[in-house]
Amino acid sequence: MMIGDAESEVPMREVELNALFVTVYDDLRRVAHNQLRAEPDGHTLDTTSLVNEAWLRLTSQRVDFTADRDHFFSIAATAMRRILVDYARRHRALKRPSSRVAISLTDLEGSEAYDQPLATGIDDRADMVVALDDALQQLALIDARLVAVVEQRFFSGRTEAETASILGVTTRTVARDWVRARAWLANRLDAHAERN
Amino acid sequence: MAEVSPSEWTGERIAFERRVLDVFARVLDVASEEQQAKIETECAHDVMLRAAVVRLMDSLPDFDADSSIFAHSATDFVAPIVRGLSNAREVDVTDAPDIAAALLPRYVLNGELGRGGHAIVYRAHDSSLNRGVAIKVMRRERASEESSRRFTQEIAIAARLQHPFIVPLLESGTIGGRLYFVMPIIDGESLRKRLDREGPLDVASALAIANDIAEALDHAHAQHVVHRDVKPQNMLLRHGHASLTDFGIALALQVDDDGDGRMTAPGTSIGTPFYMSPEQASGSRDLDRRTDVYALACVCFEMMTGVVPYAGTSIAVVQAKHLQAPIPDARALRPTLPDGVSRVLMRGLAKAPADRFPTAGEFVAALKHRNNA
Repeated sequence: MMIGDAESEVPMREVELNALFVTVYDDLRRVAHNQLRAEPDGHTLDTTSLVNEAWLRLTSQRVDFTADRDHFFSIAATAMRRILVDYARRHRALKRPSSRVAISLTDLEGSEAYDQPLATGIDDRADMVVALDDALQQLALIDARLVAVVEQRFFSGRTEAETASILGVTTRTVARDWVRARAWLANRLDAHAERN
Repeated sequence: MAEVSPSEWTGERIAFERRVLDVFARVLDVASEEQQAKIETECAHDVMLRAAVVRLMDSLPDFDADSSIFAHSATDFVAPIVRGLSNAREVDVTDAPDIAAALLPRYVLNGELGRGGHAIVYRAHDSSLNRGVAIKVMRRERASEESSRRFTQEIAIAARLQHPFIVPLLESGTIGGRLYFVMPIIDGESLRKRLDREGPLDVASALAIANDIAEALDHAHAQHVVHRDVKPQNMLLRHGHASLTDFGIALALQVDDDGDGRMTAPGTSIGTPFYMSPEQASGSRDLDRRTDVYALACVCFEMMTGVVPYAGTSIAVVQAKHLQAPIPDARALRPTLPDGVSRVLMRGLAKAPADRFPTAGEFVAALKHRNNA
């Protein structure tokens, strides 16, 4: 998985990066989970403020923390991607028919919901998210910056200007990369859909 | 799936894709009316390259189509999946390895029996007593110290309950802040399943089940243990008798809400509102044995009529009916029912605890008496 800019002047050691990623992942997942689970009330989950708040928590808790803010936002966007993709993968994993043992112990609260078919479209959504993640892994081999742009724009909900600032490129470059990445990914997703 | 994994992409393929994206970038940089000419120049003799670039160009108008994943924010797109997972199963990564490790050496986890909104039930082997057990692990972590202390006291009493019609609680504790309960695995079906399959029961069968459950409740109540979640799902039928399970567990769900003596959102902890007493529905925590009598009356009403006394499309609607709706007459649904039985049921369903039978045993004795009268 791509994390930040490998050629930055003061590269963090890989161990530190992994530890930071895990910290950020856990933190964001906890906060995002409750908001994602809630019934929609017309508000979109604001990933950007979620990430900004995570940054504040981290810097106030860890004085030894050395990564800069932009670096953190790169990691956080990757973490958001991972969090959301993990939901889709888990949905697909659970969807597989399993041999359910009849529970004579006690019926479980909420088991009514367990037996109900999930709303239509969810399976498709999960498939698309997983296909997108696969395509992003391929794209990372071709142009890591395009992946970073997708992570900021799509998974982290950043504007073009914010993305440009975080990645240290011009807004124009972000705009162009965002178009290129989406076009390339859309093609991969179409190819994926045709195969299945 | 025929897809080649990214790691198997050849350097040649990667180089080609890079060229495509480079050309595409240069095409995007010129004014739209010049783009076609730009493609021709850039891809002069390379048919493959030209086709790939054109495919990218062609997908541009699709970005905003609703079918495109990019027409949504990622979180909006994924949220329905998360809610589906929440409703259906555990969403958090199942920490079964942690649970399995924490239960050793006595209990060896060897499978999952089922999942519900509040708990996951595992099948395990009790190596001390060499028997199969079911271990119910709550999903949520314990709330406050206060609620934890209160719960521990009550669960200790519940664990001491010894009665032929009470499914014993073998052990309870916490794993990583989550409560777990160890119970014997019981072969048999729940009253819920039987009612779903058969509909209303004949009155004699219903009374036999009610009688066993009332004995179990009276025994528990004598030791000041209130069940709080009496419902057909918690009644197990086997060898011609009914047993009540999950003593003390309803409290675990309830005190999790907060520690100040009121449920923050009445009913949110309990899975079904159909057997909830008016005092429970109004959010009171101060529940006594008469709450269980009320719930048992709801179950009896259902056994005899095939329907719960108060139905509704939402928890709030059903709760409101428990609080305010006129008490239904079972005879309206089952005219052959003796009038006396229906009136005893109505007294069991009285809104005010003081108007109900003081004990479960007296309630069922009255039912039997009226049925024979």
